[in-house]
Amino acid sequence: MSAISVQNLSKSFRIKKQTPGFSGTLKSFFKPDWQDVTALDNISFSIERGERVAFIGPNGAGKSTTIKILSGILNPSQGEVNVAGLTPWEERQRLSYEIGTVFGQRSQLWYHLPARDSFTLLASAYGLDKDTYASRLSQLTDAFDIADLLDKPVRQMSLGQRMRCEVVASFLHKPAILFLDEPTVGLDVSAKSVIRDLVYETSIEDGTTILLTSHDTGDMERVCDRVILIDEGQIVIDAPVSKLRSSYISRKIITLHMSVSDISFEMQGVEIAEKAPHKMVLNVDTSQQNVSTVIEKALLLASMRDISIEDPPMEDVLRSIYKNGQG
Amino acid sequence: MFCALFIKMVRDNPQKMKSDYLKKLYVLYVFAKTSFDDHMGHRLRLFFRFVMCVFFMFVFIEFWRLIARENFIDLPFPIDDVCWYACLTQMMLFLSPRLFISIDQDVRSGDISYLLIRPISYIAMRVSEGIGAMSANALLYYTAGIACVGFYIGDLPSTGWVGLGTALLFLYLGSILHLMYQAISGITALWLQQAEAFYRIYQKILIVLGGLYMPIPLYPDWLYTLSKFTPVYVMMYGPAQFVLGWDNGESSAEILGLLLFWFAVTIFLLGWFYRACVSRLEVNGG
Repeated sequence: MSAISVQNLSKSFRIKKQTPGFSGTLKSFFKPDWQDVTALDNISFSIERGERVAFIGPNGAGKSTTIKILSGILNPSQGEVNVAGLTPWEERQRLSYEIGTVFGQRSQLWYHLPARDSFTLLASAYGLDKDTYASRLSQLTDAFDIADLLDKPVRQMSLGQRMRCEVVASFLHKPAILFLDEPTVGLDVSAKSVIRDLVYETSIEDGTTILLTSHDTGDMERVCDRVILIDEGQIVIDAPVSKLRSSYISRKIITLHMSVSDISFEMQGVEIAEKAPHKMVLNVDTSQQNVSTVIEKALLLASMRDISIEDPPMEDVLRSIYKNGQG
Repeated sequence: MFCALFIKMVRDNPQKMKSDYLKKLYVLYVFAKTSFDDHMGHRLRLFFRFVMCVFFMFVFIEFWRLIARENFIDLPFPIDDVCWYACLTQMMLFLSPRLFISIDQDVRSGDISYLLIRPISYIAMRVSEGIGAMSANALLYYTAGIACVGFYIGDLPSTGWVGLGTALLFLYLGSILHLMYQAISGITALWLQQAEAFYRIYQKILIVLGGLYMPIPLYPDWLYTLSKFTPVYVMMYGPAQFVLGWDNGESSAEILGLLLFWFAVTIFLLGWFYRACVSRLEVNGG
């Protein structure tokens, strides 16, 4: 049985439309004009136990709405959802033992109390006995390196430290499924990297199913194996992360480190992305030009100290997918 | 003793506790205790709120002394008792934390996303936290606050320590009921996106029909009767009237009976309203 199964899920919100100006305000007061906005439009997918899936898309695509329905916070307009064998919005309390959540800009820790107090509180809420709680906390304290933070009031922690504690709080009751909604938002590069690695390693160790939403492609690449791309409430792509590059990009980036200072390079399907003394970055459209042909031509023009061939950054891949709206 | 043993047993091994109801009760106790610790940690906030309360109590004592001195109304109670009454009703307002604001902020900030998916009812958790914070306040108000009032008035109420003790006990219970009505006001934020409007209406009813400014037997008969049919009667006047030395007061059994009745009605109302509002919830922030 899948950890998460979603069938024909739709969600609409009713919002009040108001025309500007005093007359619009009066009209809206006496006869409000309501408009239905579709956040999710008939989406279906399933996630197997232990899978780590990134749920990505532009702002307003429906990512957070999906997570909130899956975790039982919102009721859908229609569709069937099964999370750990339960219908989330009908069995919210039973489901809470099976899931954990990390919402990047929210906090589940008591602001003025040490993190340990919040952990103890959550352990009681989830019915962990004293020994289980002690061993679980010790395990997570080591894994997330928060021994120094346990007795520090949350208000005195940096965002990165707080997020580590937030993730520990979510892992404390050993959930079978973890929902992460933009867990690294606002963090610096090193804090992001720490959170990603820790989530990945802990999920491998515990066999946790992960559903992650993020605008940061690093989260997706480091933590997840599969990506579901959603746009305007519909699933656009559902593929392994590794295939996303090969299937949806027809570009390569070639960096040339030349022994001469400069060369003149012109070729169909090749753009010069960056030029500096002894260095040139080429953006190659592989549907028009082979990478090997480009390198052969470059070698004819000058001897090279080094050549590197890279895929474009994942941001560019996604930008191109959003822009073309392709599936 | 029994409570302490129960708490230790559940804390050490919650799995052994067979009754789900008792397990949940223990979890609510932990939330209340954490809130108590958190509230006690805010010493300055606790102190300034207490100073404000004492200031208002002194203002009301002087206000009633002036009324008695100038014979504005014919008081059926000793003036010192009315001063004690005014101080206790004032204390009741300051005793409870502003729970409706916490709920309103949870909705506005979207933190409710976290709180709704815990294995414990969100609203029961918030009320428990309110009781924890209120208990921290009570510790200060029932000791230093009562000492200040006693010192300023110069005597105990005519009902003595028994009357005062009974009043304080019922005031605590009435304040729990008040927390529940604050929770109902707070829940409106799930629907209307703000709780302030509903709470203001409730607060006016509490102040007027609860008898904040004067004992309600001084009201016109129709208003006194109307007050008796509302829950605010047992939150404010009901408890505080135990310091009024007169023969027409309600007995402890009557107030307890009314409190239990209103607790039952309010818990039902709170549960129904919560379920109705939560189904309409739209969480802020994506």
